Amino acid sequence: MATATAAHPDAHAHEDPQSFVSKYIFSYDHKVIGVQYLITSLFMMLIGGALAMAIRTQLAWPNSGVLKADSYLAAISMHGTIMIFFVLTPALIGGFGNFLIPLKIGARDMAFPFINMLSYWTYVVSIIPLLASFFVPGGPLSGGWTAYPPLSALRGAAPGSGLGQDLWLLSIAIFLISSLFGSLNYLTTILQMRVRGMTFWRLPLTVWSLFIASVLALLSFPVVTGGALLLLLDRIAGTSFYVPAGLFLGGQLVDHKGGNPLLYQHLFWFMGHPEVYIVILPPMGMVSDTLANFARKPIFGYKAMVVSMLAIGVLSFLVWGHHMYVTGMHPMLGTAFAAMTLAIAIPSAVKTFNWMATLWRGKIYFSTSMLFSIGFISLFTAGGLTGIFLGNAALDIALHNTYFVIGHFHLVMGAAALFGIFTGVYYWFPKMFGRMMHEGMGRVHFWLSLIGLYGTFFPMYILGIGGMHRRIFSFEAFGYITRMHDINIVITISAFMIFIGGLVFAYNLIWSLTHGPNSADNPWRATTLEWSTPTPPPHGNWVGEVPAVHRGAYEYSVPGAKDDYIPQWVTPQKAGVVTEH
Amino acid sequence: MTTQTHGHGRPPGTDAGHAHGGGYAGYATTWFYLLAITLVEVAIVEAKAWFGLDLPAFMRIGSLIALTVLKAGLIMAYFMHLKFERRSLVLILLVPIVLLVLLYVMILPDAHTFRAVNPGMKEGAGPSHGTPTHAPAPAATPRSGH
Amino acid sequence: MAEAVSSVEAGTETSREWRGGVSPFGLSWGKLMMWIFLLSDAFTFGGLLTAYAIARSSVANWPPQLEIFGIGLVTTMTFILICSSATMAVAVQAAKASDHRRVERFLIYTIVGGIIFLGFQAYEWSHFIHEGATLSTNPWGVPAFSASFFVVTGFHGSHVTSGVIYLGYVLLRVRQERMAMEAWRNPLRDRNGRRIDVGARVKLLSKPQAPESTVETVNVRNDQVVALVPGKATNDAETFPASAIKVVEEAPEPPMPVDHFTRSERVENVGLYWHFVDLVWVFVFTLMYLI
Repeated sequence: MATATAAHPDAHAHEDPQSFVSKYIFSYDHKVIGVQYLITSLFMMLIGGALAMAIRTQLAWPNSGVLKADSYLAAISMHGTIMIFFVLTPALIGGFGNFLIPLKIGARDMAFPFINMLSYWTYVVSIIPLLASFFVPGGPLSGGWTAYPPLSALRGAAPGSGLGQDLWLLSIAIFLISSLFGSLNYLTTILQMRVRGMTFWRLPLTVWSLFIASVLALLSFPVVTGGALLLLLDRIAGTSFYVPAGLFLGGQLVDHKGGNPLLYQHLFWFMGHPEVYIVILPPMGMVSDTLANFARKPIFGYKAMVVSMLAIGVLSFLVWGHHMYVTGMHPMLGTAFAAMTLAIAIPSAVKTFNWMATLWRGKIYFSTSMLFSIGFISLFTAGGLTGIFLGNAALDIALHNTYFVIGHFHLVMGAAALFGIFTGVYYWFPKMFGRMMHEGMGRVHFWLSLIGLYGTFFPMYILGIGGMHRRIFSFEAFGYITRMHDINIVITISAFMIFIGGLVFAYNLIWSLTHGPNSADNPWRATTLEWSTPTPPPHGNWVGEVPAVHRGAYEYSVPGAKDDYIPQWVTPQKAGVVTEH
Repeated sequence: MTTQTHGHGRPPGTDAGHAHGGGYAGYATTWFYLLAITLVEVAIVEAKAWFGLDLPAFMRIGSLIALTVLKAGLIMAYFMHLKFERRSLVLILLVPIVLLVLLYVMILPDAHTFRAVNPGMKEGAGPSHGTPTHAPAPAATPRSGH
Repeated sequence: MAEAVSSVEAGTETSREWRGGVSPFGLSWGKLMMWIFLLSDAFTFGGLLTAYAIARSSVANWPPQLEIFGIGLVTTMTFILICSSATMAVAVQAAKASDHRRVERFLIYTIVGGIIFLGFQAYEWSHFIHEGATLSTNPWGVPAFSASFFVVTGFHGSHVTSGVIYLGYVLLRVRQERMAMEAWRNPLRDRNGRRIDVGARVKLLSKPQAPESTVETVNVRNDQVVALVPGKATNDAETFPASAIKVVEEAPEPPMPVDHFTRSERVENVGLYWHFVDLVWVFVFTLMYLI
């Protein structure tokens, strides 16, 4: 068991790795693992993005022959799976979680470095069956990223329901294990390894958000592990957990009897909805940190921010049914889930208003990271407000499965989370590699992304209300939709703008790695603990003692102080000012 | 760092030695109660055969669940030492369990709707049954979500 | 925060402030991780048991499971698992009291209990399969009946199996550490009562005029000392009983072997896992067999 390694939680913390392999490949160092996670997920983002471009090309020019009906379904399913499970989750939780948690709480490494390394490599292994499914007969799964039965449970139901679906299940199962390893590590590290003085109410919001996201992952993923196990048995062992009786497939009566397909949807969304918050909470935390820094103001309502994140965390477990209003779910449940869903708007609004109040009358410095942070608020609001529409059972019956839904969740968890990742990369790149990123290219990247994302997803609301249904590869037969065809072309052109923006970002990363100006230890004049390390931090993070923490994470523009920021590690005597946190 | 780690091994104030857990005798008591409750559970189930008592279903199921929770509580409190850990740990461990109850409660109505409309179940009574002639029920057709 | 302000004014950290490095729950790292893992695992079982409960509620005619399962057999299985949980608790208590031999004995009892439980389960499964139950069909009615039985008890059984392996591993480590500790406490001594440790300079009593040699390894249990014989090739060592040599110069006393055992954490962690397996069975027993 895992505890075998627990006897020496950080026995490796002091041995400097020697060889290239132990330094960069099978490294125990949380910083290396974090960067590995980031690079791998950015690579996956390229694949997921390319699929998105193919999908958009198909929708704008249905006769271009980019995709066929079958491969279109496979493309949307794989795009969803890759972006959610293999880009956003690992980049935010695995990448930034690994890199930032120990640095921000003053730990020399994670609590269990070996399990940490295992977590990354399990993630890499989980990618293999997923990508392999592109090359098997029938292609990858084509029942959507949610893999609802009976499409996913019956082997002949769709082209991708054969080997492709098996590989998908295998890949997700391995990914869930990797995520469990990660969560165990993050929670133990945050609970046990904070440095002297780092109380819970002094934690930077990034750490809080990662903590809550880890709890969500810890509790929600195992339920779908059970659900996926039953799906696998339905597929390979002939059980009937999800396949109802009396189903005909290709004119043949299916042998299964007695299953309840709604059960899978319930189990899946019990994980699926917290998953949305797993990918949006860490960006919320990171953006809080960067907004306070670049506005040179303390974050507005620190405790309200923490409490609202906790509230979002709890509520996220109680709203899964709002994905299922039109499945034939019991109407009483629909009412309960709708009430819970609307309640979740309250903590979300608290956060949004607090961010705005943080910006209010700040000395704002528009670095690329700051631009992406402000963009995050904008996208989150534009996407989140339509969530109130969809959370209403009565409205959702009309809007469900239209492009309104696509626009909503792409803005609120896709685009916003993506902006969170970009914020983080531009902000912490100097700490990761010791070089600054190119601001000019960053700005190009930002404007291409912002205009592209709005141009892509905002018109989708109109398409959705107009009745354009999702998961249909060509609308040539639907006269009322072909009339809106120009909008589809605009969306596709905008989508290509995002992709080009992404390429600019990739080039910027490579250029900055080799040509970026060298960074100081604390280039943003920030207050949190990771900026007290040398840049880039050595193995073990701090040379000599880890500095103790004397104050909260947001001491910007303290009246009477000589600098406009007082880092957490500066003693009260040196700061010369009494602070309240 | 390594020595510091060993320091973490047993933080001050948590030295759970003889003072806690009531020693070996305490475990014997817990063990005895667990076995006794198990016997009571079996007796409730077999009440009709053993004592000619025909308990109504709600009493049978209610008492069984109550006894199971009691057993679980005994194991967690004494065998897993939760009674001697800090209150915050107990709360943090118990609160998520409420979620599991909610998971069941929030799906249950669907199971009953399903039972009402599922065509396969009417023939499903016997060990071998013929071909269902009904068309698939509306509720049995899943639609994609978001 | 009030105490923070006062600490700033005083220029020092007050004792109420977070000192870092220790847990808010007063737990060690490994134990906290075990608790977190068990919480996660509880949700896996929770998902499966919910699926079973929903599958059961979704049909009108669930087979009368009491007549199908042998209630005597299952009750015996429950008894055995509870007993093994009790012996595990004793082992944990003994570990805390540093009663090393009792730990080993009770770990063995626990392992035996786990193996007997698995044997009963194997018997129950084979009996069940013999009567015609498979994952996809069974002679008593809805297929979900046997399918959920196999899935839930199988998943629990796999936990028992990994628990037995985990217990065996802990037993092995506990034993190794006890022997290392005993060897350190009671080293071999020569006639004059001087310690014979690795690196000690010794003379052979049988050849008093031969030059000194160095102790290479010491085997306390077999009362054997391996020493280099001077003048021969380096790898040419010979084995002597402790009584055959005389220590000329003691080696510096070796440090105490790292005593994980006194911290008892390894036994406590496996204990938590094992009790959790028992805890799950308590629910499986009621929900699967009784209700």
